[in-house]
Amino acid sequence: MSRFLQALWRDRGLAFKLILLIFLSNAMIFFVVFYTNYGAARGELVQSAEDNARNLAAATANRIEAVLRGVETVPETLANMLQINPMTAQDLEDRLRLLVAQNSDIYGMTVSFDPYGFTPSSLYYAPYASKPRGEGEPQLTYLGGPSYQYFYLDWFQIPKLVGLSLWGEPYYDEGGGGIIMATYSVPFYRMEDGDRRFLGVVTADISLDKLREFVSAIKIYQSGYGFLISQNGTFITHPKSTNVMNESLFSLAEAQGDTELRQIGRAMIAGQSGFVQVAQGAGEKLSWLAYAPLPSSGWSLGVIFPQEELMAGVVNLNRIVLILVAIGFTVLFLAILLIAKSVARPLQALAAASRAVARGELDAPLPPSHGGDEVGQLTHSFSSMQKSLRQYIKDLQETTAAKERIESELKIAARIQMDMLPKTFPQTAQYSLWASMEPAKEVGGDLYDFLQPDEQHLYLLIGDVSGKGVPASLMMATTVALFRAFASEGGPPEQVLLRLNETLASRNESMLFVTALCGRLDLSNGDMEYASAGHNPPFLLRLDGQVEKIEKPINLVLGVQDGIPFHGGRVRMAPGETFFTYTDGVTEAMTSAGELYSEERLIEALSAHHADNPQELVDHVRITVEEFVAGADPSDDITLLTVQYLAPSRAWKEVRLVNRLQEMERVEIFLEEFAVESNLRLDDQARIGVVLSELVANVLSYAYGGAGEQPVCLRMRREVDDIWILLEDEGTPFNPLQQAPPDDLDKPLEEREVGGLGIYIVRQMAKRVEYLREGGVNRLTVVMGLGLSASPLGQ
Amino acid sequence: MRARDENRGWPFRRVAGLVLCAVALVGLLAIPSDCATPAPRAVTLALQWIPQSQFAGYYMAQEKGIYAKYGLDVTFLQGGPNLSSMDALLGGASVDPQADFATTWLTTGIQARLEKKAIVHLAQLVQRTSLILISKKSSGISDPSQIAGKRVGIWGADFAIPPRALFQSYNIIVEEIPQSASMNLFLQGAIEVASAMWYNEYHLVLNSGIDPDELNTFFLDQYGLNFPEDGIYCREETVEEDPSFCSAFVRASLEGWEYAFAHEEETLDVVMWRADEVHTGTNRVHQKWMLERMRDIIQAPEGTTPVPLGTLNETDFDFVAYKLTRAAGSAAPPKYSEFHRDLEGVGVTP
Repeated sequence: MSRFLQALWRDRGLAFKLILLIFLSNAMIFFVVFYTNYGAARGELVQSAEDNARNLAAATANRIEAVLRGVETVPETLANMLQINPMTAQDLEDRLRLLVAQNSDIYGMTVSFDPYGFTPSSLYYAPYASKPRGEGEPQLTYLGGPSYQYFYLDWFQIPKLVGLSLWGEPYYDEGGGGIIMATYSVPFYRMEDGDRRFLGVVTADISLDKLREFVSAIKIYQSGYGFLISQNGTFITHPKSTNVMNESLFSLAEAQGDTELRQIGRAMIAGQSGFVQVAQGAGEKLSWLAYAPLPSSGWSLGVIFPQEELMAGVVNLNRIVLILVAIGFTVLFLAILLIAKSVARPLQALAAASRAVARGELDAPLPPSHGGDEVGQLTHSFSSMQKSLRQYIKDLQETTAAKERIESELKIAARIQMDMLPKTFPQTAQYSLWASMEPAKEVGGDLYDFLQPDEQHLYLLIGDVSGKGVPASLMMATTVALFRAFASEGGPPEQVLLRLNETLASRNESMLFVTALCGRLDLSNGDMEYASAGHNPPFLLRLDGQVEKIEKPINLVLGVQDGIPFHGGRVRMAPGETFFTYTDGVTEAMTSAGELYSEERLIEALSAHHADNPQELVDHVRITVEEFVAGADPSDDITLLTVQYLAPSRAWKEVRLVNRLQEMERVEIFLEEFAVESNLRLDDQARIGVVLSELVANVLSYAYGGAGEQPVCLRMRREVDDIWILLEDEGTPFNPLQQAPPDDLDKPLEEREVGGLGIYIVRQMAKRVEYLREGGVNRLTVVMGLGLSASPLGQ
Repeated sequence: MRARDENRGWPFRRVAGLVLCAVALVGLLAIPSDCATPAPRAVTLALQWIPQSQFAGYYMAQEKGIYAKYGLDVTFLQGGPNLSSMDALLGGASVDPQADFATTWLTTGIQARLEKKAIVHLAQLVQRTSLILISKKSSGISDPSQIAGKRVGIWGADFAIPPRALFQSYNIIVEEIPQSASMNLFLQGAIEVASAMWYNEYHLVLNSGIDPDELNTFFLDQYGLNFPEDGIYCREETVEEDPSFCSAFVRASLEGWEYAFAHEEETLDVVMWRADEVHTGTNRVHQKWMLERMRDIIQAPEGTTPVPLGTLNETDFDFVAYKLTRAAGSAAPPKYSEFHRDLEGVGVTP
């Protein structure tokens, strides 16, 4: 339920919430004030009404009491006289008439004697003087008779039995007035023989009309009234005449089933006074009742006034207040509605505009700003935010473009830098070299290089720059550039590293360092000199499958401190043995589970493939690493550099000729000498002789086209089982290999054209024939294999 | 609102009832008048007290035309503390008999027979004594024996018989004070013990502000003194001359009672009208109480065999007759058959 209300509330507009909240709080305040006010007013009214009613009841009771007491003295005086002196009937009757005439409040009086009390001869004697209906003297009648035995009546018998003067219950007097009477009875006695003998009763009657006048004078509001009840609770006066002498408070209480009214009645006839709330009749309106006793008679006076009339003033005021409140609330409602709308409309417009902006429509129009209120300020802020956003997006676009340009330049730089690392690897008679690098990031920190500054030496370098990214790659580029410079100047590897360190350390602002391994292979004898600057130790793969780890000596890394010495080492490699270097990216290649490839696995791989050539070996190690990491991203560059020593290098044997056919004799002598030096067998010498005679003769004859003495250079070299022949001239460009195969092979030798057949023969006999025009020189390279029975090199 | 509606509804209902009755009467009278029925016979009924629910049945028999149906035109004579209905029936010393029929107590009737007065009992309405003695608890009288020496309000005439029988059976002497029609003697402390009818004065005392638990009450029938009260009587000569006339009157009266009990509110309207006419100073709740108590004492008490309305139980008669005979010192109690006269259609189950 509360969630439902919450949802209901949450989705409501500002106007609704404002109206509801302000309305509720206002209504609450109003009702608290209203009821406090009403309660106070009501309390005061009831209080004043109570005071008023009590006073009224007491005052009226006192007035009645005064009348009653005034009446009481008359029969009491007469009774006193009768106790002292007996009167004659005439005297008594005269006096009665006189008293009735003199006392306006008294309706009638009697002196009623006990049976035979006046004279023994008469059962009844009760002269009764009463006011006439019209003007005139009081009438005199005599009470008593078979149907009116007055001595059995209450007004006679009760004072007689009780021995006290008292007011009797009001009654319809059948014998005398024929009207409702209240009678005050005074017993009188005479002392006879020491005994007090009861003689009779003196009474004074008053008409209830007389009393009713006092009580009916009580008027409160419209329908408030007074009433008088007797000591039995019977109504003596009441606005409703049928209640008089018929109903009592108790009969009303019984008829209405009202036990509270009965209790009030008991309190009233018990002589108490009070102020209580009563219900007038079943389901009737509430009223207040104040009552006060009349002590002399035991009667009680009640004053009733209806609550509704008592509250009429408050109710009217309340009605006016409620009407005012209704008007006020209407005005309030409209005012809130107006304010809420004026707030909500620009806010809704702003919300729509901001949604548009959020979609990217930065130029979405904003609602017009109204003045400097909060909504206006918000609109203003939003507008400047929109402007800033536009500017920001513009700046961002420019910045991004610039950044992208820089990044693409960096990429190019990185590519160029990668290009600095050699991608083609020399395969010569003396050695075979292979390297690979897989960068972990675009711009790697690993480096390798090699350089053959002369026929005899091959320099190697493998290294790892600490750190990654652009600084590392710049460092790497520097290192490689410096290596090329220093290696080309010769010197052992420790000297190269020393010079590298000096240079790098002196300019290393970013405190990067480089681990590096530098090697120099003497191609003539297989000596490998090396120096390590904190780099992973290389392995030497022996012909017998042994994998030697070359650990010493150890030097500090490059670039950290200048002026430190570097020490190198040396190993002799036999032809077919391999020198293997790598960076820590290999051994520290990691599976996703965190397991390292490790040196052990590397050694295992190397040992299994020690006989492979460098390319196969590099590929194999790379594959095992890849298989090991099983797809995990490489954490570091993986770089491998391997060189296999194949054979000692031999020098070229050279003869310089001029363009004359006579020079062929020198060529024959040159071949003779070469054959001896190179341990050629005769048949090989013969085959070479055929090739030489064809090629050289051709060049001598045609290269210069009959010009004067021009140089032609012939060089030869044995590479294990091959004979390399180089023939160079500076004549017109001519590629003999482009000559069409001879179509006159069937003709006798003499008839065929010179040259065409010669090249054909050469191609038949040589392993390889290459032509290259370079720097104005025609160079023809021919490689010829030696026969199976050729003697091994050097023997 | 409901009360008001009822009040507003009353006259209508009453008028409707009257119209219905009138229609019924026209229907009933149509045939006898066609058959030349003589003019209604004037009849006087002396009631032993002032107009109140005690006589509701007779009023209703008159009001609803039941008497007229039986060819009777009844005039009521009002009774009072010192106005005996027996006197009205039999005539006083110098007074001619005024009434043809009278209601009075069984005690009064038997007493009259003992005094050789020529009355005959025709029907017995009230089967139980409802005269009780009451005293305020503050007087300290909780047992009849404690009444000895106290001022006891005793009504005149036959009202004195049952209390005196009680005093006699307890063998006590009390100071008898003639009690007026009101209870003021008692209420104002002039007497300690008062006579009261259960259906009347007892309730008046309650409605003078005294609660039931402030009173001690002595129901005489609980002390073995059951004096059946109201019955209908006539002079011997009347029933000798015209038994059917007596029968018609009694039957009409009994029908009136049946009607009264069946139509309480309508009956109360009539009773109140009759009471207000003579300023008895009463009210409706009081008459309602009285009518309900009359039902209690006229109809058989719960758990007893119902007897037809108007029946005089012979055992009850014998008890009262014995008591009164002994008190009077007479030798021979009146016989039931002499005292009571069965009438055609009376005392039998319809």
